[in-house]
Amino acid sequence: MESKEKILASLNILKRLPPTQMQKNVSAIANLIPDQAEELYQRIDKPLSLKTDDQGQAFIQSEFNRDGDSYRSPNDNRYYPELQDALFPSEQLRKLEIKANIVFAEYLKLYYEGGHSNCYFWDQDNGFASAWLVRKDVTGAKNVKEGSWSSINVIDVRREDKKWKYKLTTSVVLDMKLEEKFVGSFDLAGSLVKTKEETVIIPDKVDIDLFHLEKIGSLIEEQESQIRSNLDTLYVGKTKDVVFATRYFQGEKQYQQQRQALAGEFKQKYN
Amino acid sequence: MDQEQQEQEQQEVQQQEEVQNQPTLNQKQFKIVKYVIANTPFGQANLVIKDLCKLINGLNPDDPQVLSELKEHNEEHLAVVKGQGLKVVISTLNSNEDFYVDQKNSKTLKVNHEQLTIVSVDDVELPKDPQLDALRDELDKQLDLYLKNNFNEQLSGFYVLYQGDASDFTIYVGITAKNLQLNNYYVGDWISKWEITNKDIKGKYQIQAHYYEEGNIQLLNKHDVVKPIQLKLQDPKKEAQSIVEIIDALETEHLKGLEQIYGQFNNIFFKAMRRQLPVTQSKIDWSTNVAKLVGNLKL
Repeated sequence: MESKEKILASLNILKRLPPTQMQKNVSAIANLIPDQAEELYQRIDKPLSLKTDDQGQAFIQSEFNRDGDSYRSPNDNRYYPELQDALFPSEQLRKLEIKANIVFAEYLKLYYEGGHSNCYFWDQDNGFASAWLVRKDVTGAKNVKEGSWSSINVIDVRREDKKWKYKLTTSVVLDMKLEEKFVGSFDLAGSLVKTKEETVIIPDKVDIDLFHLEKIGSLIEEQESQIRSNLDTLYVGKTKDVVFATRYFQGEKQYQQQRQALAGEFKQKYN
Repeated sequence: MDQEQQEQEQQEVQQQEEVQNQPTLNQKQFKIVKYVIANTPFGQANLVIKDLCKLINGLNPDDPQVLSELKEHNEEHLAVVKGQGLKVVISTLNSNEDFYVDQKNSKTLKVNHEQLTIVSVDDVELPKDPQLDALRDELDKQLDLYLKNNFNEQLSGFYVLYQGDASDFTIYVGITAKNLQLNNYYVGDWISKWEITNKDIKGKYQIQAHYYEEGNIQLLNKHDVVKPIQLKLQDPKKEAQSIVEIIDALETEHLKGLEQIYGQFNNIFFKAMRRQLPVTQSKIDWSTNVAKLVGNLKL
């Protein structure tokens, strides 16, 4: 079985297992395909966690700042635990990374009013790639035992002649555990993914770093906002519809059947 | 000489048999397969097994270890099986090694777990209590009506079984409805299990939903309830009615609770996670913002 097919089969299995146990799920599947384990870990979206560096500053641990078992802090550009021959962004890119973290922290304030953000950059041929990450916890809300939002924005930036191509993949991972008297324990978790591409011609007399930050920032704002709007219909709406289509409120079943009959949708019954 | 040769041959045959009977999965693989099948939402087990076979060399969907996990998965999820003129809900309660017991009709059934079909039916003699039989038969009628009125017929079903005798009994009721829309990337599974004695009725809800078109979103709702009841086994019709009325009331209360929680999502949870727009009520002016924050930053 080809490596690509194994990864595909693994991803298919993982999208069916409970998202609240993502760590365990990936670890289990990775154990079945040790040769593809590394690639599998990089393809999975799971809630982000925080680590603290020697300056006492928290930073997000992710696949994008990981090398082996160590994680790089964007604050001091060091790996924790220390690592020999580790991967670092080039000097120029590191400057862009520092600026990005400042810009994204402002975005975090405006949209999240709390939580934590970090950006990580790495070099690529003809460009670079970066991950813009957010981790926000919900505390003190009614009925919420635990609640967290993780945003994983991965952007690939390539230059083709005078044009720059931006490809953004945004994953939002939610994990909510509620407890209510008449409902019991209510766990709603999972992830939604969206991608977007844009190609632009960058005018000549422009600070390229600033241009990239503006473009990436506005793409992320657009896409995260779309996912945020979709939360109601997809996360909430779909799971609610699915449940309420198994067990109806009293009288609702007859009402629905009447509607179907009136609309001439007899066929629905025989699907 | 002959005897030695014979013994050697016997040894070789034995060794060959042992190799053939070796399970395809080693201990670690088996644990993982078990975990994966057990945690897959109902309706998707066959697909998951197909994918597992792509990851494990030499594994087939009809491997006995795989089939045994599939059996357990179906029992835990109260799978509805049909065939031979019957429709039965299987569970750990009526499971007996490689067959299932249909107490009402005094039958045993063999099931194909991949197809969810009943492949053969046999007669069996079971211990019976006439009073409990009567109550069970009435419950059967009431539950049939209850499901018709409140549940989606698509793969819904129930079981009623009893254990014990009139002096000391437990009646088991299981209700399930499966909403399988694999082509639209979503499935739902309602399971409520009830245990009724002569003094109370205990319920256990296990409600699951899975949507996986642009991601993987799952709901898992678990809840235990209990309500006192007095059963004297003297008027089976009336007592069956009151049991189902209690179940109806409890399930409705549960649904109302679910609706309330869902109603709170946008206001309470999502607002607390990420705003739709900043307080300014307008999107960010990126060129101004970026210039202000890092325009003059010397690094």
